[in-house]
Amino acid sequence: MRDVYVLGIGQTKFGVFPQYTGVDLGVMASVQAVKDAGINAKEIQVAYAGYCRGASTEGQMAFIRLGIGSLPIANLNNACASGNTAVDMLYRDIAGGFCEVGLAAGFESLTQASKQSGKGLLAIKEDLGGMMGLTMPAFFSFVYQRLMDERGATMEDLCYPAVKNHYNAQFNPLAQYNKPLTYEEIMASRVIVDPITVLQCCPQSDGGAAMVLCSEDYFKKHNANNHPKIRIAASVIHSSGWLSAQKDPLFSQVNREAADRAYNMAGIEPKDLDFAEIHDAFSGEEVSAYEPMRFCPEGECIKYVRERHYDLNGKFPINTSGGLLSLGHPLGASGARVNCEVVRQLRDQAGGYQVEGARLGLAQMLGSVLFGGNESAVVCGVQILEKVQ
Amino acid sequence: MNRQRYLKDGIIGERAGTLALMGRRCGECGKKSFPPTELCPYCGSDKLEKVFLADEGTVLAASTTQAPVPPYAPPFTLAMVDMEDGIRTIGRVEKDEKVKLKKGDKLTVKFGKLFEETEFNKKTKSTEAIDVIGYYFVPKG
Repeated sequence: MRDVYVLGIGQTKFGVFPQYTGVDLGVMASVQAVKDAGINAKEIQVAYAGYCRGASTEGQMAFIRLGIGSLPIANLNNACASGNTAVDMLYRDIAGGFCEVGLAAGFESLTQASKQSGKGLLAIKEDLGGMMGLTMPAFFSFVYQRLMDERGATMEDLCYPAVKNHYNAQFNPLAQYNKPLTYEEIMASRVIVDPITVLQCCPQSDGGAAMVLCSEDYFKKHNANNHPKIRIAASVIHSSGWLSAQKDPLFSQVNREAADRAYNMAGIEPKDLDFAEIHDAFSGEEVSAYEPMRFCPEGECIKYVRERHYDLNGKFPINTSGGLLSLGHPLGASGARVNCEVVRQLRDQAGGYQVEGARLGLAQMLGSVLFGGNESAVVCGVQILEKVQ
Repeated sequence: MNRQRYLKDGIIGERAGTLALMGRRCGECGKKSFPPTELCPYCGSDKLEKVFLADEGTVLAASTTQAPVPPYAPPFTLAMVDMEDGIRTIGRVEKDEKVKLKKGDKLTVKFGKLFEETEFNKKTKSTEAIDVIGYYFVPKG
């Protein structure tokens, strides 16, 4: 296994852009990533695309517009972790010595997708749960209740991530929403699945994000833009299994197993991390991730919430960019986007939401919910990135 | 009467003239599972036999969806339910709107029409309605 480094990142603004397709957004992000890498796009040796709601071969449709072709390209649908999966596949190719430099992009236009599927919440039709009307907010409403029953959480506790992340987003020019929100405003908004109101949910949005990764040799020879050396210390794609079905939704087993695999691969302790950028599709979901991902001791997530541990200026900032709650969640794009966010922090390019002295950061996405045996969130992607001195 | 189909094949069977949820018992490890799978999810064995589940469960968590999830119109309630034999499942709960479900509440399994769908019949060149039959819960009592 060889070390893998980040040579370039690209990211569009996230929001509602009816004038663009998912492919358009993938192209914009990829062009930026190649330019940021300081290489000609023809240098790319392998490319991966993550998206969920488009046609076949959208990766090829996007990359050909950069002159990238006659090389291996694959398209990956892994729910909210599709972008992490594209990064992971490229990571493996470079770590395994199959190529020196490649491109991983995630993109999505949920505006275009909803033109076809119509209004309403999305259920996975092929799954027994989906057939009975189970959606992501319904599943996470169960998680909310478990946090209330077992951890003594109040609605104010469960709205902490929404308040915190919307505060952070005012410093992020790429976020869909840039305005702080109060707990009262959040609770006064329309109920989606009780007690989850619409302002506790991420918006369904459009966007693209991309990364150029390379080997150490390649980085040394081609780092024309003199970027700090950022290494992918761990890359993990993990899925829940049947036994997760008998576990409690209070404690996400797939988050625990994926995080532990990543900490082990990076050879670090969770306390070594300086910040994290994680899946906050629903405000209380972020709270539910603190314990399984070892961001606090087991049983203490609400204590940490009340200490505002995860604030921008807190002991362990989470979702400094504003998270999915403020950026919106173009499914396939978000996993690549969280990786770009971590790189931005490590490069000291995060502007108003910069974490002072950031050296080690974690990017995570959690996706899909299936009842047919899993009855839990299904896929978790985790990357840990490290600034090498 | 409309033609009927089950929500999903293999999850509902007839026990002594009445409908019941149907899972699997593994002939090797002995564990029960629901919904049915092709190989035992615990040990991978193919020695699975059909087994009827008890018609009672206990609420772990429940909530009411207030947005449309086609073909369902809001409001509708879903619960995560612990059945006997260590099986945790989810299902619709038909109840009075005023009844608030909480952890520990007892439920009974029922069977009936969840929604109606239409299908184009090529022979008669007409659209026919189909009742989709599934399971749901009601508060016990």
